[in-house]
Amino acid sequence: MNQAEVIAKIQGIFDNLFLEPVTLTPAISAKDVPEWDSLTHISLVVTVEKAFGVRFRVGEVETTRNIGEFADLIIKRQLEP
Amino acid sequence: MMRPAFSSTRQAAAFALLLSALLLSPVLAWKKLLPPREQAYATLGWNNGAYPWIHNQIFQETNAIDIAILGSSHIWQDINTPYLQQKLSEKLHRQAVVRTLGWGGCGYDALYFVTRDLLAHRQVRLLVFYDETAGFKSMSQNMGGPAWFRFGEDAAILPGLALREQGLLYFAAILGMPRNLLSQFRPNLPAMLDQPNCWSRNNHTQNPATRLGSLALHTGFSPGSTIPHLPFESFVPATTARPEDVVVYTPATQAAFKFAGTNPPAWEADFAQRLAALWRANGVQSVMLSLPLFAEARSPVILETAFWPKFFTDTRLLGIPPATLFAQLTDAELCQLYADQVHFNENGQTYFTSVITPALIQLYENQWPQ
Repeated sequence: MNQAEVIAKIQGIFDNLFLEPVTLTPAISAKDVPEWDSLTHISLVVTVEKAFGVRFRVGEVETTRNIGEFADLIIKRQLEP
Repeated sequence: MMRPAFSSTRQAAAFALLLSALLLSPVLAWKKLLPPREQAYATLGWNNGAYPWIHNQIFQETNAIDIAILGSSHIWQDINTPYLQQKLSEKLHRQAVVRTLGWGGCGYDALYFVTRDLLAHRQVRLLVFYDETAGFKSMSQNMGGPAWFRFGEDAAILPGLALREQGLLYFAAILGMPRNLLSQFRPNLPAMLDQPNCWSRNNHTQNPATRLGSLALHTGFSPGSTIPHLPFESFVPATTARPEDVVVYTPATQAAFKFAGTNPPAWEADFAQRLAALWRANGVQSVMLSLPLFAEARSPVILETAFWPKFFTDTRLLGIPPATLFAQLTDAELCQLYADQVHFNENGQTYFTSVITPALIQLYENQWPQ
């Protein structure tokens, strides 16, 4: 999967998770989405882990600055044995 | 009219039960529900300390450490560990083992717990530490308490501490319980020590694990936390400072030191004494390495807040008068050595380590003659 494909899949997760519609771009981050608080973030990470069949290490997701970097992290984790 | 918080007595009782369970969770969990001790470090990320590296060094690596450098960000960022290891290896004619275990936030409580865990797993021949910044204003309980103070294992530490401090540690244990319980069921994945991490992304700084634990900040000077750092420029200072200018505290050299004489808070004093006892019990030789703050740079003597030899009776106190270390440098050049008011950047780390290394090696050799 490339970054665009990953973001398209995350878009589906956002559509289910957030009440207000959010159109994802690689540059979008939590500060651009008022509804994206810490609790929603946990739901988002857990849902992404299930959807992509990956696991993140503690602190990894927090260091990504936007959806583009988050998608890159997912790709990196998918490539790990 | 305001609605009552609970719609029934049963609901209120359930809430009270939940709250009690939370407050008593460290006691209820005791040791049985705690994950292995190593999870205390494995579940912490890189942001506030090189915890994945610390976990690796305490629980995975097994060989003896010739020199271990331990402490908060001040010493974490001020010593070039690969350089010190290289110089010690040359002196010993074998591969020396020098490691830095550093984290964010002062407090001898943190130093005590990390040192205790390290000494429980590895032999350390010389331990170098420093944890003072600027007086005691910022020195309090370390924010990592919820991770490494685990009531079921560490309750024996509480007697001797003031009631308030016992309470602080107990509440730290409460805060740490959700993480402990979670990591019991879902341990963190093994750390990737050779990959770029948040330090690389945010500060263009190498992952500390690739530098034997030391953090070399690739940033220019910032006089305050809200002021952006200047761009980093490589700079090699030209001074007359020599390794011979480094001073070990003794009655004969005490004029090179100035102690403000401030008594450390009871918390700090207590953990300082516990540290001294821990080192003694493990036969570890220790060195307190005084690190100069930016504001002290023109001082002709080494400045310390407390009279530390009173607490660390078996420890050698080592330093270099800042005015000697920074002789001939202009204020602008001095700025090129610091990342902020407290920490060296990569330039300062390289320079300071080159001056201090012969004295550290000498102290090592005095304790462990070849």
